[in-house]
Amino acid sequence: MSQFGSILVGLGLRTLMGKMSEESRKREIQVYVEAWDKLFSPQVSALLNMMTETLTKQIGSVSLEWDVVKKASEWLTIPKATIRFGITDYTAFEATFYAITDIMTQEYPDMAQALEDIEKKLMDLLAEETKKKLEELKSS
Amino acid sequence: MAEKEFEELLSKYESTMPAIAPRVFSRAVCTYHIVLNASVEQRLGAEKKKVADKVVQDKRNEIRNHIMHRCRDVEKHFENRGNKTIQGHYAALIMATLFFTYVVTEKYPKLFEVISTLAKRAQQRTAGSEGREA
Repeated sequence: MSQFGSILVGLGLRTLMGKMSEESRKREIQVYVEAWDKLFSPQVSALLNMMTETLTKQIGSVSLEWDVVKKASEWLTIPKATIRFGITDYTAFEATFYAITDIMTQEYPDMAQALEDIEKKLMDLLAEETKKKLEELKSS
Repeated sequence: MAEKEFEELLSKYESTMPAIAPRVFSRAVCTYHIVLNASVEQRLGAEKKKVADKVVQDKRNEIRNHIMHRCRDVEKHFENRGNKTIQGHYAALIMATLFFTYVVTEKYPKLFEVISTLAKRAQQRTAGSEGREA
């Protein structure tokens, strides 16, 4: 899981789950830890890590948690209500899937650009790694 | 419906997937998005799916607007303090990813079961092909 994931998991769950036992909290954290890598791309993990790092330098981790992360998870109450009644799993999944792509491409297109740049960097790193492996194989 | 027709539905939805999607979501989620659309069209028929997609469109806008409303508040808050930061972007990403995780793991846990199975299969295929290469 990304570095961002640990902040998100801690704060998000505290807010989302409220009064839960330590045992079930740990279980839920595990669900999020496992979920993260299965749901999101490595590019998004890298972008969030970079943003977390930048903001931590700017405002410190305590402010970051208080100002943004905690509030962001509290604010999810309203979007949750939009999928409460008469909504199927298909509708909820698709609506959320597209809402995220809209935010990335139309509201914050610089994030879409950043993801493209990260992808290019990851591909370069992969190519370099493959080249190294091939050279190692040749020399052995 | 014949297998061939279902294959055609799959490629139809693959071609309509937003270009940004594979950079945001895992391969398993993108695959599931394609399969889900094709199977809903197969089950309901194209006309009824259009009705369901109208609901998707409305909810998509509602979710986007709720998230963006909060993010603009965050931006204004920091701009008023003379401090222009990337906190709006950050809040948007956190809210969006946390909400998606909530939908598939808590609200509809069966979705997560299917996505996990797809992810495992993809992993096994990758491991298999790497093994063959070695």
